Amino acid sequence: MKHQITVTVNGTKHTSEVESRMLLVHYIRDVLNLTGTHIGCDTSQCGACTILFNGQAVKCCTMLAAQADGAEITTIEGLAQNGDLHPIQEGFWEEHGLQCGFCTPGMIMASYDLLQRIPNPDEAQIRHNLEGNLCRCTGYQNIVKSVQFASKKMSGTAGDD
Amino acid sequence: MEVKKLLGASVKQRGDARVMTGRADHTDDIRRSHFTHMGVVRSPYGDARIADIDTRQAESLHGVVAGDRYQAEDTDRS
Repeated sequence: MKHQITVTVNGTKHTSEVESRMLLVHYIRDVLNLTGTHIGCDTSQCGACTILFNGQAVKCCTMLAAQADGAEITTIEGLAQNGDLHPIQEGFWEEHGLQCGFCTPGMIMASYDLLQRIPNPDEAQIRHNLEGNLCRCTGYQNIVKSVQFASKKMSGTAGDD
Repeated sequence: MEVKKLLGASVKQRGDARVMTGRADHTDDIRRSHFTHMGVVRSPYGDARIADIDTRQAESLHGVVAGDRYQAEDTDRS
């Protein structure tokens, strides 16, 4: 059975026919060709597929595309505005918050959600809120620093230290 | 990127902008036309000898181009 859905992704409205069983992550990657959202585990453990769904971080490998009808979605491709990286993206770059980069889009989207709720998180809060995102390269030290960088920058106190 | 000093200087990674913005191509992100996809069927047994592999059913499915071409036979484990 097919469903017609209308979804706004990174500001662009898409209307598509999707199979009932199609996962939202497959819709984003294979129908919209936004391959920045990754599939790491297929089981909602790794967080590589994290997107913003109506403003909240969601692992879209365990959502159906049909459930996204009417939703506003932001993927990693939609975070930079007019060529300017978002402070979180800058943070991951400046603080070397990645090696291979596979987990990075999910890390960034989960960090976005965190900083919306807690603008100035301490290290324990960052680690706790990113526990649903796995990185197999770096350990999490520089990821924590990346989020701290973004937090400072977004509250207007970055750049001096 | 201008690098004024090499020793003791912090150098920004070059490939990171693509990663940050979701434009990096990891293997699963590569999109070309006329791709052939493969699936690996692994043995459900930890230690066993392959007596026979019958792929006729798989090959009879629409769009399957090769069911028997890449069999592991009995992989040499020595």
